[in-house]
Amino acid sequence: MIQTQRTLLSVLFILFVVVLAHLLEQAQFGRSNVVMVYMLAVVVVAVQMGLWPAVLTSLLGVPLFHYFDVPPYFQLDASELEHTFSLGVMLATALIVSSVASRLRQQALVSEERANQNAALYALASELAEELPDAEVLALTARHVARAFRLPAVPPHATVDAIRAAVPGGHADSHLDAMLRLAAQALERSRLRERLRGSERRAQQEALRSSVLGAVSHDLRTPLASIIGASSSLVDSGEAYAPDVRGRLGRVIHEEALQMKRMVENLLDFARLRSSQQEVQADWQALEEMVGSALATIRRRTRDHRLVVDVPAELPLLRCNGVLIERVLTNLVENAVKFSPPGSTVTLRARRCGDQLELRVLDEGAGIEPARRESIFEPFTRFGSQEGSGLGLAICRGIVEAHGGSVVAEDAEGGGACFVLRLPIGGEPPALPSGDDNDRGIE
Amino acid sequence: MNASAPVQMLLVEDDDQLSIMLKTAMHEHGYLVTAAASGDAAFRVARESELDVILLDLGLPDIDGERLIPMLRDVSRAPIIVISARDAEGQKIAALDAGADDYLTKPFGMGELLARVRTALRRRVQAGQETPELTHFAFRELAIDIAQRQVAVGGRPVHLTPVEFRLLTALARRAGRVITHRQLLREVWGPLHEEDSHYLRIYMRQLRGKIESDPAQPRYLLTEPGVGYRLAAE
Repeated sequence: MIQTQRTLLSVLFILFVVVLAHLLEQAQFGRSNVVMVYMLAVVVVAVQMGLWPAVLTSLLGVPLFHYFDVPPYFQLDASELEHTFSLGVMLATALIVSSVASRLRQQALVSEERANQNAALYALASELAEELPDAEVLALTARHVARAFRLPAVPPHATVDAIRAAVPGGHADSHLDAMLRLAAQALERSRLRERLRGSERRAQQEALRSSVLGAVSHDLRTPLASIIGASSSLVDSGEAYAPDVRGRLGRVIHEEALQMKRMVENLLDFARLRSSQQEVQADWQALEEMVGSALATIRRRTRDHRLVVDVPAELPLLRCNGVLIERVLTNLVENAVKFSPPGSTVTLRARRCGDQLELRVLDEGAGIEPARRESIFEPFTRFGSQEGSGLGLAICRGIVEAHGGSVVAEDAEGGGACFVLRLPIGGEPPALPSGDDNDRGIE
Repeated sequence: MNASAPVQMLLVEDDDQLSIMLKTAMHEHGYLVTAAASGDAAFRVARESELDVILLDLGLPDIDGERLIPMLRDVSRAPIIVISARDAEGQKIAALDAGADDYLTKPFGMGELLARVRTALRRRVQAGQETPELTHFAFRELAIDIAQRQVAVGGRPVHLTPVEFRLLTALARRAGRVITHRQLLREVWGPLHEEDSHYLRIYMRQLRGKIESDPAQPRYLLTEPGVGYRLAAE
């Protein structure tokens, strides 16, 4: 198709040259100059259109020149030799020029192709530079390979070699090699990253474990010392003690054992939270119920504080894990009790804020300095020499965040600390069956 | 319970120290305690003697306590109180659904254990007297007349809807014992609604609103977090 067009073009070009040459001849230009016009025509055709149009131009050019521009005009009776010589020169010129030109064109094509390949490689490399999961790396590579090799689609395969197999003739293509090498490097990088992250995680766990051990050995030994001291006194010489002394020792053992129980519970919760990254098992819960059981636990442990509960009855049900959220409430209120003077008031207030439930636990203690309001949620931080494992607030935050909520420390109005807990309500519970409970006559 | 005959108690516990402690303490409170350290021993004692109450630890060396419960049920009518260090709510629920009457999580106070044992024994006495169906329930200011379908708090009648009444009587029939969410849902709404826990929350809220003076600090309708509810009876 293109060949035919080129041939037609060269014929038209020759006609133009013939007319031009004839005009020059008529204008008394030297014949050698007129020959040069034909020569120029052959060179132009050879450069622009390749070998065969140039040969055609030569073959037509010689008789035309003799016919139009060599007297006697419009006749072909020049000597055979001159004729053949002109033809030979023109053909030779056509051959040489066109082969040089075609080599140049070929080289231009090759370097253009190479530039395209480089651009494709660059595009692939820059996309693979990001941190991607393995499947994404392979899918991306498959997409780029399909584009580079003008394939309809290369399905994302499980390995680099499978992508190679999907490209016809792909086993010996250096461009494909380069692309697949990029993919292989990206995969290798992600493996290394994974390994690095694993060892970082292990280092963190190691650090955590040693701080757990430190905290536990200190915090468990203290009550244990009291328990062993008091119980050994009772075992060794209990009969010698007055009943009120025995009673006092018994109470020491009891109180300290309860303290240990609380710490062990916190530690177990913490371990459970850290080990199970799975989703919390949520259920529809009534807030006042969770508040009720949290307060029941705390009342058993403290009688020195006034606990005020402000939970409106019309609050919606909350989608959460009831046991865990109750644990959060217990920890927050217990914390407030611990850090405020006996006789003061601890308030638990709940409100609905759009699609969240906001709970505030307020105390009348000294409050928390702004600089510490974040760090108190880190595990194993605590105030001074206060008892406790330093885990309560870390557990709270872990649980609340697993529910998609937040917990922060603020100032309470009028001094004291205020912990603000926000939990997503989680939508509407499914409707109750209708007609099931029409309200007739149980009095 | 015959006033002259001491209460026969089977203690199934494989930890020696805890077993000694419980045996000593229960003995001091007038119980006749047989201790078993394995499921196998426990089953033999339960089959061969007339027991009044069983205290069962779930973590036994030879069998999972949860699987032992139905076996003990086959050979003894004594109420089973599970004592277990397992804190996971799922296991408490499984034990209750398997036929246990109550549970206590270790560590627990002696007073708490004695109260649970008394509640379990009272129920057994009622069963022994062959009262076919509970007709009345009264505790503190709450009075329920099941036959007449009447409820009163402090002598003041309380108006309940049919579902609220069904829920309250389901708890009253086993007053003092934990009833799991699933058991309550099945009993009040039917077996197709065992997963619809929000029914329970909504109706419990309504019921508390009518019966409790402070629904957030209930005196009658007690919450067992993650497990179920209990109607206070002691």
